[in-house]
Amino acid sequence: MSTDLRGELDALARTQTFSPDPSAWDRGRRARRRSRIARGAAALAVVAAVAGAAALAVRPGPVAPAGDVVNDGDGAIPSVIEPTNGDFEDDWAIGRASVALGGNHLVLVGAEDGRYHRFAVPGIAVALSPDGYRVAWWSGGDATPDGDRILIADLRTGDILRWAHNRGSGARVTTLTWRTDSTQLLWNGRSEGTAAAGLIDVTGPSESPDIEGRYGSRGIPSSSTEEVALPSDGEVTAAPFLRVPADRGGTTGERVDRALPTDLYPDGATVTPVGWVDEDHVVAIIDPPPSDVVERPRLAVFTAPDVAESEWTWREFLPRLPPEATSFAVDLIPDLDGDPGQELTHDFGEASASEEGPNRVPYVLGGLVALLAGVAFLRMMQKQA
Amino acid sequence: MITADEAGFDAFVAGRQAALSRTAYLLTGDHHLAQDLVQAALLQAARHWKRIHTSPEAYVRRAMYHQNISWWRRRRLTESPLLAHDATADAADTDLRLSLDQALARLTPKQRTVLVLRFYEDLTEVETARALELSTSTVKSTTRQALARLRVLAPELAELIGADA
Repeated sequence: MSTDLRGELDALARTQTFSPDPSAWDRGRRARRRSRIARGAAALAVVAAVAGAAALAVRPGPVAPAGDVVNDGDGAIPSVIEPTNGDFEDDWAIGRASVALGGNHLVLVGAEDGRYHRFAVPGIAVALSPDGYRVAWWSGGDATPDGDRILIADLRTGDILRWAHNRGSGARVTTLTWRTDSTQLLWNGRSEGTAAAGLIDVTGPSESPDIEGRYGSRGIPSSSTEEVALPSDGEVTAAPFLRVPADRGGTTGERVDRALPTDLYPDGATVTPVGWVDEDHVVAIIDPPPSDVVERPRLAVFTAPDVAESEWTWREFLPRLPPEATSFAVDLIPDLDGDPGQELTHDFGEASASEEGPNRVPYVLGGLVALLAGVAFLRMMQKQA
Repeated sequence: MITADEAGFDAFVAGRQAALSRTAYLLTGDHHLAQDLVQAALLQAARHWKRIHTSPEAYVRRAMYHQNISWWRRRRLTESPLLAHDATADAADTDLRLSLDQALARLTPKQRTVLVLRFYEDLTEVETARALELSTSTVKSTTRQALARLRVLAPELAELIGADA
């Protein structure tokens, strides 16, 4: 059967005559070149999509990688502080913080990721320790759920120390100030109409009351306690300091001033020290009177008056501070190398200003869509080939 | 300047195009479609000549088989048959070859392709299955169905294709 059928099929096919097409080779090679170009473009698109999606997906994002700025990856103070509204958190174990913001509630900025963490506690007299691992605030008085307490949260463990200050009798706290070693917290306030103060050692914990008036003075002593950076009373043309003789135990001291640069602050400025970077450099919030060019307070680091005037330096490094930003982990400021261009803060990008953290989902999805489109295109080209 | 590849391709086309065209005609049942089918397959061969130049015919034939089925699938979406699928051929067509041509035209492309490969290209069931990327059992059943339909469509071919499958 098959032989007959084959013969008949062959005879049927031979009824047709065909003419060769001499252009097949040229057309084929042109098609090959076009296909190669298209495939190359598609491959590039896929690579770009993959790289883009991967970069967005694995981007360290808010984790500060800015070289020296982040102190070997331990975090940094953000270059922009713009808190927005968001949900409250109840877990204090957020890790190291860089900035504390007071006000109606307490807000902390993560040192390593720049994220904002809100806590439903009163932001009264908020003080972030220089190392960024503890934050302290006053409960607000007896009428509050915690009673009249100074509360200190350990941001590594999430534990909260509720300290009954002033030997348990409490006091209206006006300021809380950490010593440079981040273990002692000085409170200042008023109790029964008179000034009161005390020094809390959080490692004990224990409290040294201000029996001899040693702690009554506001301000932040340097690590050697030889100088105390004082807040100014209103706008001044020189930052106030106390120079404390070593044999006086830091009780009182000689008032010394450190002139502000007149070119920057011709009308003076309010100076509120927030810490010491080292024995010779103070960090302070500088708040000049509002003008056409000055809108907000800014953070500056400058030499203390004990440094020879010929070596004085002054550098603003965090402009446009919101009024709620009052306390900073100054240990996160890198060692000053004398370079005026040295980065002292880190740009965390969207994360620092975003309530929900970095929203990469749309970008990652977009990248994946582009990737799938590229793969589909490649498959189509392969099929055509 | 003609390259060695182009010269090889030209030699292949000159030597095998007639045979390829005959197979293409049996696959399509249409002169112009057959010409297009061969050209499309040769175009693909030219694109990949470096890779296939040692045995281009197998590549071209396989390309023709698949291209024909692909075309048929596209045409099926836009064209409707003018005749009842199993209507018998015109009794006036007494010429055996014409009957075969018309009967083949009424087979599905898959049936037609399997028949051409099995009984014109002389491929075994296994080779046919491999060429069309089908299972052997599918080739067997398709062959059986195609022959049965030919008997219905053109009873005068019974002697040619046998009384049963």
